[in-house]
Amino acid sequence: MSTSFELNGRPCRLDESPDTPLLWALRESCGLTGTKFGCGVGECGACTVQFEGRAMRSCLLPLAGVAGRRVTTIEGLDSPEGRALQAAWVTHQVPQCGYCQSGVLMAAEALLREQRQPSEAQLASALGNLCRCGTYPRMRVAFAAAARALAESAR
Amino acid sequence: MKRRSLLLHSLWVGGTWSLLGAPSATADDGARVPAAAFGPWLRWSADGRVRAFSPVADVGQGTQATLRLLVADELDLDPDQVDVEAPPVDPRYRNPVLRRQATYGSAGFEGLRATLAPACAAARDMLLRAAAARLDRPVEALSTEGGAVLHVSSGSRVPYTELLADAARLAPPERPVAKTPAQWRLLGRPQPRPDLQSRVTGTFRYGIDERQPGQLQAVLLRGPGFDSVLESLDERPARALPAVQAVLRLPGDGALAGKTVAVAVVATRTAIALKAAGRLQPRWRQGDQRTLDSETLRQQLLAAARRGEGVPVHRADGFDRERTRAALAQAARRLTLDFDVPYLAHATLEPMNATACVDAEGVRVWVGTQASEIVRDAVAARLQRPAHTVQVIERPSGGGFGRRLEPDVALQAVQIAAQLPGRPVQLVWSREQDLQGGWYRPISATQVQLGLGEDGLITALQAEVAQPSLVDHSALRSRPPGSVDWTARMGWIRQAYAIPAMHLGWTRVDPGVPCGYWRSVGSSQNIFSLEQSVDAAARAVGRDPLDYRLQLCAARPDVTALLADLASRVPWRAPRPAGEGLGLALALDSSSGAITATAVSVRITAPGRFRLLRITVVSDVGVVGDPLAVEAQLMGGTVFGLSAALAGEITLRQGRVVQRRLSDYPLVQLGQLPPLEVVVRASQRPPAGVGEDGPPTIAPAIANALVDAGAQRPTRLPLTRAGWQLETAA
Repeated sequence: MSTSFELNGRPCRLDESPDTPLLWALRESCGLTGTKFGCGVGECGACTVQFEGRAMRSCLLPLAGVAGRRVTTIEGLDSPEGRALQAAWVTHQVPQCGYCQSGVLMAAEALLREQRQPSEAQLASALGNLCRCGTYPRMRVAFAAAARALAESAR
Repeated sequence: MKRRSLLLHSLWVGGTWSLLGAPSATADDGARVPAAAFGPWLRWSADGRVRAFSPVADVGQGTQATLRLLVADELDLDPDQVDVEAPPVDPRYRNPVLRRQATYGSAGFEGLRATLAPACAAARDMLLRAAAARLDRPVEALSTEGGAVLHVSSGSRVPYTELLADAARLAPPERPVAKTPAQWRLLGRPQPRPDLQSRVTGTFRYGIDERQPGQLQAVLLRGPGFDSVLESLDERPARALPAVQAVLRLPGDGALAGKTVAVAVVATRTAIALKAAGRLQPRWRQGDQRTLDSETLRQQLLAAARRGEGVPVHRADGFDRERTRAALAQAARRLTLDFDVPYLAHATLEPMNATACVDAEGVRVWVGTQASEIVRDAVAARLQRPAHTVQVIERPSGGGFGRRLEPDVALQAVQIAAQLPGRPVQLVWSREQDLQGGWYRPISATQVQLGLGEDGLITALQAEVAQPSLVDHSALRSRPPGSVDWTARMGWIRQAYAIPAMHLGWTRVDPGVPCGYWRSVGSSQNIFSLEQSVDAAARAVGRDPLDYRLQLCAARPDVTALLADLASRVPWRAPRPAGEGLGLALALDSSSGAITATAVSVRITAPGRFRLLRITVVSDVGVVGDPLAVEAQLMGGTVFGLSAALAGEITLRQGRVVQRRLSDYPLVQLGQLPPLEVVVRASQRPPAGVGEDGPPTIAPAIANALVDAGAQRPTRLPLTRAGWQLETAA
């Protein structure tokens, strides 16, 4: 049985079992290792991708659930918000080991597309990803910088 | 000349020159370290790119980027021209500070200065001399810039690439002189990190991202606790899945030799291996540890600490058991405090994993490791193969924190691969196995007795520590098992307080749970005891905790200046609103001498509930090579210690680790972190590591803050066990 879906803007067809978590399908069948395994049970956010543009934890998403739908991974992040975030993340030297950052950026991009000036509660809720290196303070600074850069380029 | 020409010929590899200069520095001569030890570290390509090996593994601490800046500064070229590689296992690649090829002890920057800096300085010297001969100018008239040697007055410019062959024929300088911090161009200042691009685009690869041709994926099944053996297993339900390649048994060692301690399910895909493993119902039999209960163990440790019969673990710097006991007996006032802390897991976000391939010729292991040499030796010993047939390819890690010093997962991967010769196999632990897999920061209990003089100052301090010994477990050991655990001294020795009589006693209590090095090691528990004891002493005699510390540290103006700096930022002297408290904690790094002080502001919102309002960290880590990396380490180390302080614990019941998921071992999230300010003070002291200076002070600072706000002193961690729940804005 095969599953077809749109992956990073291109058609993808996989012959893995439909109950395969999307996380493992991406990492091993699609060769996209940017999405990370951290816990496999939806508690860390390292596996965050976007499903129809919404941040979701791919370890909890079976392949059958994305059939015919649109999936974006960190490798396919290609929006003004995404580019602004990635640039700000580098400028403000956010990543340390960087293992959580794919998931963080997917969550952050989804938030920034929805909300240019999220409240503290919205930010904390959207960025619930675990960062063991403790880069949170720089994440905040870089998120704000990305939002500002977008606002300035819009003028 | 003929010998050197042969040497040059043998070193010509694929269009790159190796600058070795000294005849003693050959590929065969690994045992002798050349005087100008740049040979193993630097290679040049014909296009001018410099390939530098790093003595430091990449666990996220940013040392590779610092290395590029250091090389660029010493050689006067663009850091973008420098590629950093992980070296093969070889004595020449040891960090001289540690005398090992391993990454620990926050010795990375010092390691770079002991290896890459003289190597680059020597290379620069030889390039200049080669240019001097070429241009027929004195060396003094030449300078280096932009990857070339310049003779400014004539406008001559010779790129390094044109000088490599000539330079390699020269004798290296006997004592190459690296640049001093005053001469740094790039180091010492914030610099951009273009290398971070790969970490924000998902293209950076960790050990878990290894993909070798034909690679299989393996998952493990393990019994509960640490001494379970397999009693029975029907493999058929797993083998029934077509993509399952093998169901393998892994034997234990030591007391468990010859018995199966784990089952590996190997398939073409991890998801299939997981599914197949889920169909199996192995029966495990626990050993003597099946009665192990961490609350009982905790009581045993407290009792041992209270008995006060520990082995003295330090006999210098005023440490003397008899003198201390006499001083305690004569003290105007005595205080006794009991502290205890739990086992702690590292919980690196990238779970433990390793990839291995075993065939007749040798073994290859690809692994995110902090100690490639330890992996190599452990694998060679386990498979009874000569060390030179074992190749360890060091990969970056998604966090190390000391966990990746242990070779256990690499050994498991090798054991699996050895049963599937010629096939690369990647073993990935589940998060449950990662939390339950051991090598924890030891559980520990300490009884502190303080003697106070008529003036209220501390005249005697005795700390009796009871805990397991890292030396009995970790592969990184400098003494035989059974020796006194020197890490139990960390934080107690070479601290800043002028206490005339001190004694540190250590009692081993070890139920057999594997223990290892956890970021800041002994300081992670000892500073909790020390800083609450000093705070308690101050309050017992009605003194302000800051002033009390300033007085005790009066002989250390660098420490008092740092404390005053912290106090001014908090600000310490401001009156506390009702229900709020300010606490501070000071720690000196017993190895590096780095000084860190942390202040925490809390508000008690209800009985047993508190908010964190603000955290301020001020640190003196000596001369700073990479200011943003240093700040990042202090920030990150504080958050690391905060998770442990608030709710982190690994407990055991009936020999089984209780914690199975990250929700059982909560890690701080962005929304829970209050404003965190990190200040790195300018310093003239030699550079000291910083990776482990964040964690120790946060727990005692919070405890001291709670006391300041009117709470009873919380003497156990995590704070949830002491009755304190963190409250965050809804």
